[in-house]
Amino acid sequence: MIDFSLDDSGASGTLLLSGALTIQQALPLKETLLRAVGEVNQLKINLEHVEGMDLTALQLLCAAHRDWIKNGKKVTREGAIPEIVHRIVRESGFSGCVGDDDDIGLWTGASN
Amino acid sequence: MAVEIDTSAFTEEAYELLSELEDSLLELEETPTDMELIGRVFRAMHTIKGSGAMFGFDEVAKFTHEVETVFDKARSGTLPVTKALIDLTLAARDQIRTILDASRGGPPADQDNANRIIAGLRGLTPQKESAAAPVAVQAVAPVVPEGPHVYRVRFEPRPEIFSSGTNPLLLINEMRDLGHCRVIAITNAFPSLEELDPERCYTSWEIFLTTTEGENAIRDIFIFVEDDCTLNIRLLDREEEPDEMAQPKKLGEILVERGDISAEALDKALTPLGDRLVTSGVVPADKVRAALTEQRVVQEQRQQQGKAAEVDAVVRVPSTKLDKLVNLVGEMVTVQARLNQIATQFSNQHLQLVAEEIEHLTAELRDNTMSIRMLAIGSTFNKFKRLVRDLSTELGKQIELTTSGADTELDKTVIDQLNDPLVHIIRNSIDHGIEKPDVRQATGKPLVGQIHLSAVHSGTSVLIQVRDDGKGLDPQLLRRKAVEKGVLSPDAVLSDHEAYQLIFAAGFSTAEKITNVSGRGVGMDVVRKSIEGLRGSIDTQSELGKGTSITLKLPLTLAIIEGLLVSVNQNYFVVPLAAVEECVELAPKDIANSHGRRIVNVRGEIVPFIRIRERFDMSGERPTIEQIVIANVDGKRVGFGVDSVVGQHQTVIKNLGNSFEYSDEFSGATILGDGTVALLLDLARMVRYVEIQESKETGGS
Amino acid sequence: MAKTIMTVDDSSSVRQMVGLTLKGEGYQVVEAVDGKDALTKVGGATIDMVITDLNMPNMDGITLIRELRKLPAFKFVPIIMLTTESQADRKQEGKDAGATGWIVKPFKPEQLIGVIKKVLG
Repeated sequence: MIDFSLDDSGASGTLLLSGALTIQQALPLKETLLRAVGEVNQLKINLEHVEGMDLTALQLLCAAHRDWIKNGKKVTREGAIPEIVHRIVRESGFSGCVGDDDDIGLWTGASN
Repeated sequence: MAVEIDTSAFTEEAYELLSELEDSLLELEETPTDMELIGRVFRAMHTIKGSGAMFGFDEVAKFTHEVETVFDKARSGTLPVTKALIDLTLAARDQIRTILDASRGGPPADQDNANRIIAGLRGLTPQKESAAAPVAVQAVAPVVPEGPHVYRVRFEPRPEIFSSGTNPLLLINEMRDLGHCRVIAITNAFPSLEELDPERCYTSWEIFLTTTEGENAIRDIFIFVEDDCTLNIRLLDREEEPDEMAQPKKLGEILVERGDISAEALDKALTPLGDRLVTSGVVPADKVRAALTEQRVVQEQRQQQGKAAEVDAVVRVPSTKLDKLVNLVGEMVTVQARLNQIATQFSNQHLQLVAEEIEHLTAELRDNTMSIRMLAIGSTFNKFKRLVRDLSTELGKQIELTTSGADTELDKTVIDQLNDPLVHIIRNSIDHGIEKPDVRQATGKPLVGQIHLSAVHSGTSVLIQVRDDGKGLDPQLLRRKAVEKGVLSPDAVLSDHEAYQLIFAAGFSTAEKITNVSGRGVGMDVVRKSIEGLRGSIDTQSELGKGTSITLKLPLTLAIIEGLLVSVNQNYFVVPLAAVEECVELAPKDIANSHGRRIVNVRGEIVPFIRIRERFDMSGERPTIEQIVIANVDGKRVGFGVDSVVGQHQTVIKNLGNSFEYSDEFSGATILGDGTVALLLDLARMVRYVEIQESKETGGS
Repeated sequence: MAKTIMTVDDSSSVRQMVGLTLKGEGYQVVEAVDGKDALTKVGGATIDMVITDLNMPNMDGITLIRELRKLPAFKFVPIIMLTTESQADRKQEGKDAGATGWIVKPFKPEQLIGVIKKVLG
């Protein structure tokens, strides 16, 4: 499931991803990520119930992450990152492209 | 599925491939460097081999495997395509055809002919290698590398690869079945999120696989995507040229070799001003990371192989080459310091990442290089056995020399320059320290005197000690003599420990009469000078009637030291870190309390200090709060007043010319990250000069 | 959740053998006798992978692959062709149509499992 919701003030939002993020959901995932990058300055991202992801999801999250950093968005994580996600990230050789800026610990497995 | 295997599909395909193979080989004879043709020849053989095995054509598979293995060398560029290679490969092609014909009822294939072809092909590789080596080496090049080896697999899927139902991540995971993988995703081709087509693949990978399998096992994984990707497989630790084996490749070399950066761009990056490795986009960060991984994986593999080998091979290298290497490493350390500084200024994450990696690698490179120069001190120790034997006989003394720590290693240059000082010290012990047998007997000592020579590591220093059980030093006698000889002012107050150090003062000798062994007392101050020249120090301990021990504290290496960088009026100085004990602040009230004397109160202890600013007549205002670096100089605590303490600095020492004013108060210079020069302070000498100056001043007033 | 694999082959013995092998590995199996039949059955359960023969009456395997790739749900689904022809052009034709890979008949059950693991994970 891919869900993005704004909080009451409209200044921050929560991106909730769950289930298997595969190429079948790649298009909606991209649209949602674009919204999340564009609409708020403070973003909470929740991956706690992600059950799997493929390369398309990794590519999108990586590109979105670069946009967040470029645009100075404040991104925080809600809930833990499931071990399966860490494993996929690790096995795919994605280790973070912008040094220490792994604010949600997705690429480096940090803070989890 | 107990179905009769239909082999005609294979034989038909094989005949087709064989005629293709023939065409390619003839074409290749015309253009022997055409890599695409070489690739085509290789693939044809690979398919014949693979399908042959699947359809039970074991003879075809086995024979083709041998041919393919040799031809693989041509493909990887280690074997040139010669007429001989083409002739033999053509003959092999005919042989495969004969085997196939035989399976369909033709005349049987001639096994001898097959063996001749294989032998001929194998002959192409070892002959070439032994011709290149100056000495005849028993070059038996293994066709497939023995034991585990490292492959670099570059896997670049086409953007449309998902449309064929392929999941590239599964292929990468499949490689893990072959051995240990280190996977690096190259993500620099990603467009912005806005422009990213989520159903296209933008990622490529570099995978470093440590495996016992051959290249074909890797190719088989990618068999379905042969046309949907670019696949580049390279054996990394192949022993191509003997010279290259010794050390894993440098990062820069790897980047150049991998085609990630041009040699010119690398040169530019390595020049002192080259600060644009990653920022300018010459190399994407992922590529650098991949190159670093490559370096590490190969290194680890080499180490593993090294462990497996029972005895380390020893290479004799002229020491000039080593000196050159050390110089280069020194330059490298300097450039690296600059890179670090620049990286900090730019505050660019990518650049910092690279700078950190380079820092790490440089440190390792430095340590490795220094360790090459390290020699055990044992050979020097052994020389003294003869010296002790001869001298003691001459003087009618009985002395036994014992040693410990002979395997302690230190820089070759230090060892070379240590010989003479040690000879002086040992001679002195034999001459002045150890008593004659009758004296020893009278004092209840064993007849045979003992001299113990020891070496031990202590941090970044080596302590070399000469200890005897002779008569020891008499501090009163030393003081009296020193005053008599004008070395010491009559009202000087010296502790016993300070008095012992007098034996190293110029023109000082306590021997009652001059012997031809220890001469006129010129020896010991020469010792002191030599040791200080090596950036070392001497400490003497003694107990009257029991013996004396003289300890030389020497740096492990001369080329690079850890220093404390300090500044005075925007000039930089380096204090050898080994000597530094602590740093304290000197506030105006402390100065007021000291009534004009240059002393600082450190937790109740009075420590004299020298202001660097005053010592070198430097202009500029003193800061309100000065920093005092307290160092141990010849066993005494002495402070050095500076404006500020910058921090720890890895110092590559450059020699200074003699034309410099105060030049002997500096033991060298070093270049800082931003290019400014910092002078390395020779604390002991500075303290001595200041003492002389002060005693003159007080004497004159 | 068990994955579902569709097998398309006009030979009942092959379908049976493939079906048994797949079920033995815990997969759900949907069978079809040719391309046309397959297309009528894809609307049901989610199909995670297709294994299809090439030479079939009504609609051959290559055409089936092309038709499947046009369907959004099958755009990226792995499709394996069963082929007796090891010639490059036949494989190539299938690849161009959108096949993920192939397995050459005759094959052993473990080879089939190997290929499925390779493309399906």
